[in-house]
Amino acid sequence: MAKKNETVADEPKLGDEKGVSRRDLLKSGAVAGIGAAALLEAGCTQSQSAELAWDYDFDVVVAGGGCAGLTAAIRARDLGATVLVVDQNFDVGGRMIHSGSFVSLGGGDPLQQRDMKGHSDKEGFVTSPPVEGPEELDDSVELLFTDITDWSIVNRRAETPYRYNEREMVRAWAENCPPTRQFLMDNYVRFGRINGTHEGGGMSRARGAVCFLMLGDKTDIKAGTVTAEDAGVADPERTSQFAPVQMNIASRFVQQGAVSNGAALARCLEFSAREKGVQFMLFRKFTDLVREQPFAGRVIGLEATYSPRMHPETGELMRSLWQNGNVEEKRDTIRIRARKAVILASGGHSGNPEVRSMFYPAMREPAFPTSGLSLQGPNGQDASAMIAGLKIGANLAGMQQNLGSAATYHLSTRLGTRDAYTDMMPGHPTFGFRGSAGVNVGTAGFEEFIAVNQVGKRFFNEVRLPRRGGGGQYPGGGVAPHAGIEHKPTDWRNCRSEWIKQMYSYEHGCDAALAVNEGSQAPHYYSGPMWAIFDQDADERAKWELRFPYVADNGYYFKADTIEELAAKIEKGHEFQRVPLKHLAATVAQWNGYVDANKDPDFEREADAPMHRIVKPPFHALAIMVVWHDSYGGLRVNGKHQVIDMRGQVIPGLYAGGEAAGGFQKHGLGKGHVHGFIAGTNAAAEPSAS
Amino acid sequence: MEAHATRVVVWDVPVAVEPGAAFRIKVGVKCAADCSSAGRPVEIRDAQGHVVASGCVGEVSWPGTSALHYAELELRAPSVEGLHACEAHVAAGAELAGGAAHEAASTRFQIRAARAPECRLRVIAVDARSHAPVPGARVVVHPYRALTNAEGIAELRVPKGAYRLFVTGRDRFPFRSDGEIDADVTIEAELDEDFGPSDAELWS
Repeated sequence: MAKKNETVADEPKLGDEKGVSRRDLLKSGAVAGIGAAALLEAGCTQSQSAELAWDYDFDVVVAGGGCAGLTAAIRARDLGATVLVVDQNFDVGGRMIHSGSFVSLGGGDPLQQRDMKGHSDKEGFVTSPPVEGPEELDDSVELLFTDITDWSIVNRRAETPYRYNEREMVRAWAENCPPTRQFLMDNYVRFGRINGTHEGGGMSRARGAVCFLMLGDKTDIKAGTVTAEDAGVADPERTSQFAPVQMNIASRFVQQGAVSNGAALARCLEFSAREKGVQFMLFRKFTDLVREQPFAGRVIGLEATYSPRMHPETGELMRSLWQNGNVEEKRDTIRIRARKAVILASGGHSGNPEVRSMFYPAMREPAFPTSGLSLQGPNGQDASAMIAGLKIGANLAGMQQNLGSAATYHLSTRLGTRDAYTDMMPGHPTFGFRGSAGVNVGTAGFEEFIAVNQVGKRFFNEVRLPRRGGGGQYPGGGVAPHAGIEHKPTDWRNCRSEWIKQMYSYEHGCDAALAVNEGSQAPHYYSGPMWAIFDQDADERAKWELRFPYVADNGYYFKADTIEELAAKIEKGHEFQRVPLKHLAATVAQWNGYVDANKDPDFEREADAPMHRIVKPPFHALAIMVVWHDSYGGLRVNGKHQVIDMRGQVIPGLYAGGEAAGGFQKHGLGKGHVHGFIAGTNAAAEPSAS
Repeated sequence: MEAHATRVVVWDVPVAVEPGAAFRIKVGVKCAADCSSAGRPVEIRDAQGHVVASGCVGEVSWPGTSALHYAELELRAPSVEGLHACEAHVAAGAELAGGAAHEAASTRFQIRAARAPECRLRVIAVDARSHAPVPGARVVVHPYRALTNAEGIAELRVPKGAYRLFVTGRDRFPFRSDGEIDADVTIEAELDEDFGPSDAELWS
């Protein structure tokens, strides 16, 4: 194990696979799967402007195979372009495949209209009645645009989720929500009933629905079925490569036998993309854009490096679930020409501690990774689009919006695992990187322990520690004075100071967790890891599963006969525990005194929940994680999703979407899919460079 | 050779004992170097340093531990009501074959001497939405504690005067009720589910 390093190389790196020359590849072609005709016979051409050698040549090159990238790729392919998707990971789907698949669109989209009429879907799967009434679904592009530019909305953290959105960009988003919903449904994506709206999707109407498949004897995207094993519902402690996260029962929104999550969205889009001839180059990390001149002219291609991921148990190269359409390529760095456009959809910056620290210096702490670390690997969400864009003069947008959402950095209720933001279980090839599934104690479970920092001192009222606040979407009860269809957009009373004082409810526990403490050392003053400390009584009260796969001997769970021994084990066994927990024994003794006296003078816990002694051996420690999930700042784009430079000019041939683009504080998939749809549409319409 | 550190752990101390009443506690002894502590003598001393109980830890380790040997000792609560400080002490151990000794060690704990409470507090824990009983919920009026039965009912005896009742349970937000009690009383505690955002909601 890498120990006490600021960054940890947690996966095998490329070894002797380096060193194949470009000339070798040009001789071999090294292409597998369908659609090879889209590649140039010799694999390269000469840029007329820069005399560059190209290894591959496509009309549209998409960096990233997640929700924005896959949508863009299919859309561009539908419009006749040859399309290559490069992705740093071993499989397609990005974070979309990890998601709950709640796609919040609106503006009178086809799903809203279906549910308003009480109709089923075309295959007749959706037989449950609509969840929302017709008046809650009666939407328009104008109302959606008003909602997502509503200056008056303030959430329970006193943040303004709509005020700073880029207006041209979100206008285009609102106008393209209805066709994007139809596009998704035309590409095998099946939606259940609309049920509410996702964060950032507006306060006035219900706009979101999850994607589903039906349990069946075989997994068949065309038929809309998935086996129980692939869905992860056959065994509560197994997931599959098809669905890295166990699928949810969706009977309320569809009918009995329906299951939902990101696999029902990502796999369907991937299937459609491969069927239509989109090609994929996996293990290929996008690194740089190629522009005719450093700060002028068209973007004409990109460079990407080999980023293999080895199976954590076998050491063999991991493989994508489906391989048809894959382009096998193992050279270190290659250059890919984009005759029409490059679309950046390679995600945000939440996995890059140096970049995200510009918004919150405490989050430079490498102990706290981005969500989905195991699935995405060390190159996920690494700010690659932002970094490459800045190199050629691109502007940024919405950078402050990182500090406006409860889903960016937050403290997880899942303890005992570094990858604390997922339900992935053994069965998925990357579970070995995770090591343990963790124990989700819920917010109520924080009553059972004390939380200590890296020197063993308490730092906040534990019961309040995981509370987040936030909100600001339909039906929005408690955020604005009127909820649901009674909500009045742009009404000044929504943010009247008296109202804000009444509804504000943010607890700053996560910020206390990230604070400088006596173990913080120059130059970064990292806050260090946090630990939930409890005894055997708590384990018996809470009935947590302190066994594999929930916990493991991976440095995120410890058990010991005494508190002193527990502190020593943590210091020795946790990769980011840089200092001894020298105060832990005294802290526990003091806490037990507080319990006896029923008074916690430090954090007043006696007002919030019962307090419990920590006395009965054995003693336990579970790691508490801060997770940075999605990111909001990114490249500035216009309504066509063309990237804009520092002078306000379009960078020809370059598009961006999803978390690679900034300026729209909308959480979740709805943003990325529409971005991809717009970018794919416009990229395909670009003139082709000869 | 440097002496091995010794750790002492005390548990199963009742939350309250009537003045003068007998009760039992457990005292565990652990060598930091994982030597067996079997047979080492332990003493319980009151606030004045008087030995009020003594014994030796046994051969068997406490379940779930690697080498925590323990003794079960009987004590008598002080005659005066209130919290009383005590100390569990382990004397330095004999030299080992290799020459290492074991350090002395001690740990502090408290005993609450309190008269039997006068009032009976009956709590019925129900789900806030369905009103179904919630079994296994914790009912706490400091320092008294109980668990609800299959019907969601628990009974505590509490002293007259001001009280703060908490009812909590797995995946439930704490229910709190403050009040005065001067006779037997029944309280229905409606427990809300812990409805924090699911991973699926956040991941979407």
